[in-house]
Amino acid sequence: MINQADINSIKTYGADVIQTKISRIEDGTRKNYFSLLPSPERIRESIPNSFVIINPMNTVGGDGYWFAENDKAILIAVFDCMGHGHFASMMARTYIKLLRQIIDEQGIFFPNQVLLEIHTAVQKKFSNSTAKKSLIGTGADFGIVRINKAIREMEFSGAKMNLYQVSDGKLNVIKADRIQVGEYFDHDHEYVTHIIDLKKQQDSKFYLFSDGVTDLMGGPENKKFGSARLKQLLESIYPRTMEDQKKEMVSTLGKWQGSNMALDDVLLMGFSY
Amino acid sequence: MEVNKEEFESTCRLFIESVSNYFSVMTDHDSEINVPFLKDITQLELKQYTGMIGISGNKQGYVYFSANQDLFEELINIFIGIDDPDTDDLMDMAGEISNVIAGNIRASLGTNFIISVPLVFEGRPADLEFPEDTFVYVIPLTWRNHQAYVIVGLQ
Repeated sequence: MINQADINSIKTYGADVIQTKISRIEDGTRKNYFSLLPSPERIRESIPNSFVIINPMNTVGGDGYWFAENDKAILIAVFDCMGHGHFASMMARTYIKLLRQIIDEQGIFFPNQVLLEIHTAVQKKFSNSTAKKSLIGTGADFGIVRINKAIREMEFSGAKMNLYQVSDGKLNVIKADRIQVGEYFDHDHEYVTHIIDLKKQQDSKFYLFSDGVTDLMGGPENKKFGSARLKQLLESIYPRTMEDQKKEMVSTLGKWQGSNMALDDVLLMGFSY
Repeated sequence: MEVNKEEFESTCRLFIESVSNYFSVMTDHDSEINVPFLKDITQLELKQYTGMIGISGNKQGYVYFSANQDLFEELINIFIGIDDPDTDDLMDMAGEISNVIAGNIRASLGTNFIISVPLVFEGRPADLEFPEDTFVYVIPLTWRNHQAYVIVGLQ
């Protein structure tokens, strides 16, 4: 279960006296949501230089991640389901169950193959849905990396979620394919595998994140945080430890948002191997 | 307890309209609202799953939407098409419906009506405390043979 210390505090939008009197009761949906996610401590056991920032817009959300390891490889998946709130949380749960099945039970560790398996499973589950008034989007952005521990090589495949790599203080964006998983069932889905040689790029830092990070509204002119600002931030904190980076990112994003209500869930995972 | 009963009842009417609209618009099946009644907090019954929204701003209080598994199962089937939701899904559905009902009220009452994010629980937690000096109105409803309560408490 995810550690409470790793969760940013939720916004309650001003509910005060009444809320505090009953707040000793834990929100069951929030507990369920976070209990599905691997703990950042577990991830740090295998990747000491790593962090997770997760802040659903409400108590729960549609962003999630997965982590798996076997003798040969480490796999990290980050995803962002369409929408937010409780319905998105239901979809996030569906995706986590599929990731667990495909990666942990079937032992599939290749990112592009995992994406295709997930897409097929979601299609099977939802393409003939009996929903009379569908209120849920079944698609998700995905970024998956597999680290081959022996040869220190990383593979990345993405579905509308790029992998950011910062080396020597310069950001390089490794582009994902532009089609989500779990949507557009009439279209072919293929995902390219990008290979990154970690031996030659030992000091590289990598980031996968939901679009809630760049779409975060705030600042002096109430604008999106945006890709350019994120690039600048990641390049500026490049020399710092991942622990420090997390602190700086939480602080910067928090200041940017200020008192604005969040419009989407925020998830960012950073790591260096 | 000083309560402006007229104002309280008009607020309850807004909740009744919000709940009625939710079912008729979102599910195409009308709900039947039964006669609301005032209730002593200590004798308040809750059903299997309850979503609670705290209210602050001009009005202080809370609203609960409480129903049994069968109602949430049918809503999930209509909205998502899942036939076999698990407990986590049922609780998310309780949170979602509570959020929409309270959100509709906020749209009617304006920005000084502030609502919290939903807090969802199963059964009646032992440490559930109700604020004192709260006027509690229970609105029973039936939707497709499923019973539910909307419970409005305002100070």
